[in-house]
Amino acid sequence: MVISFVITSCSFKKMAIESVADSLSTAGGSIVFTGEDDPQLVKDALPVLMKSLEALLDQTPNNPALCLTTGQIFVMYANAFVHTPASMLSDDDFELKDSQFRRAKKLYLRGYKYILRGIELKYPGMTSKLKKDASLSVLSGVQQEDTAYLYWAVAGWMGAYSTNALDFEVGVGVPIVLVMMNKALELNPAFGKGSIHSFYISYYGSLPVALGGGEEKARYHFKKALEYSNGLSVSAYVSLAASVAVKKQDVDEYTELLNKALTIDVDQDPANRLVNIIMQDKAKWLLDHKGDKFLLENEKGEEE
Amino acid sequence: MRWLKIVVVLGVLLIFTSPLYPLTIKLGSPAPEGSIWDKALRNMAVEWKKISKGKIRVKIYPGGIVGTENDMIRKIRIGQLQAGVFTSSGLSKISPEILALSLPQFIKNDDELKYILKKRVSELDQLYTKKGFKPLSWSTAGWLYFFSKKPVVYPGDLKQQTLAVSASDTSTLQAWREIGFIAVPLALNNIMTGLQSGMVDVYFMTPLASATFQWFALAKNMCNLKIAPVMGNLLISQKTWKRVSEKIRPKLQKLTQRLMAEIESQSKTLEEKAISVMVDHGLTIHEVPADAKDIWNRVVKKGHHAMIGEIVSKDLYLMLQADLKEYRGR
Repeated sequence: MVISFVITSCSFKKMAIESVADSLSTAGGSIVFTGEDDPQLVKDALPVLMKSLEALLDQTPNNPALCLTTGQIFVMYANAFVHTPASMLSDDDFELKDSQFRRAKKLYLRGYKYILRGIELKYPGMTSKLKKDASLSVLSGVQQEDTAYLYWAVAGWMGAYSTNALDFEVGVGVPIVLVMMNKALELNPAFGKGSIHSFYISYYGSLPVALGGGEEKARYHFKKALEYSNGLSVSAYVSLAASVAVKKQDVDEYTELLNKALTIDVDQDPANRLVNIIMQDKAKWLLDHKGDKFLLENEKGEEE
Repeated sequence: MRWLKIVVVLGVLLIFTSPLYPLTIKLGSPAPEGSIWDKALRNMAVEWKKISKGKIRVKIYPGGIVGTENDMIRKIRIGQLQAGVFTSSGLSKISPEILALSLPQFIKNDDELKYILKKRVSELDQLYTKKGFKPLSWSTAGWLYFFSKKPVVYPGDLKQQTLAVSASDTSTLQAWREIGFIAVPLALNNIMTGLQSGMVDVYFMTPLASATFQWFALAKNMCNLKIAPVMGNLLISQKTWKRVSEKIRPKLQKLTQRLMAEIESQSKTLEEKAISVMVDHGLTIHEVPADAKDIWNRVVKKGHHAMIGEIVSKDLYLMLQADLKEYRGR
């Protein structure tokens, strides 16, 4: 009877864990967070959830869905609540900014490792093959339903890279993760209502030409991101403004894009309400700090 | 007489009121945001504000967002920017004579460079002050090395391969050609495609840039011979510098020099890290034996002559040569 109870109890625990992982990894489960209209509430709630998920993962390390969910939440938290707010700190707070960037990097990479573990569980040996041969053929067996694994793993790695472009250890991995994102795009170009395209706007728009960047490619993905989101992706507008418009020093386009981002009704896309609200805050900040990115005529140096 | 009084009073008022106006110095930098150089500049901005008791605000435009080094020079000249961080590339556009310090195998190591910079700082500064720029701190942004598809140890190894030389630097290109190397002009942005297409086999660059742009993935051999230093300086327009109270100018410059010296030592650590990561990813470092160093020395010296008199004045070259002789003879 005792043995029977232990087995039942273990089975129940396992079922409960799998149920939590599955519910959080489905659209319906995650909307509790992604559909929230109060970023502070999510910011306060996520650390407890992150640690709980890690505890669950410790109990069931071979559950790929749990790996994805845990990794995804670490990457989201790093981006929305550590990296983005730190990028808006003033120049006088450069030391705090630096420490927050380093913290964001660690969280991004922790998320990346969980997701990579999930990929390995689903496709054993794939990640080591990819390190030896960064080509699409290595990823040929990945199924469309697993696009999220690729997307979020890359988001984690590139998030870490964006905190310090001179981190060579992360930098050498960029060509590998880029192949993963290319595969994700091939499998499901509509993923996350154009999220992959939004990623490419920043990627091509920010990188120097010597590293494969380019305005035309960024603009192509901007068009696609708007197409898949029905024009409701705040992130697409902000990404193009902060990358291409800044690089071209086109303050008119920068202003137009950010103003457009602010006119989007976030309630039109409940599943992405949280990210759209956070990106609108960023758009407002970027507009208020135009002078940090452009040499404005009415803000000449010397005397003010 | 009454008018004279008014003029004098106004003049006195201006003298006393002008320091009350804050001075905003817009500074362009090619260093990426968040990099050690960027952090040093932000630290400098905070310290300048403190030293000037809030009267000077340095606004930094990192990551080349206000343009290339050439663009920054133009913008400083028209007053859109007041200062900028420059490497040999931009410095040589203002005063090509600075290329004397970057002649291949002329200055051979950090100690020699330090000696020259200490002894000749006023001569070097003058190259810029007479062009309207005040140099605040001389430093190096690393050393150039050959990265090649096939190993390079002796000059003969390099002659078998095609060398990429900056497209904007026609004199250097000509000098490499004159001493028997196959050199082709190639813009920095095209090095990766040049290596991929087979148009070039070798480039010379700092290990930091090689790792950042990941060109080493296509040219996995590094020749461990310092070709030349990449110079760096923070230039501010003379006009703006003169607006800074004379009393605090030495403090600002000293602080800047201290920060730049710190950054130079940090960048060496970063360079070691870059080399170690590249080695982990397949880079092979080829040591250069003493006999090979002698041959390099003889070969590239011929190239110096192609530039002396053309770009670098003979007087400056001979002066630096004498300094180096003196230092090496110690």
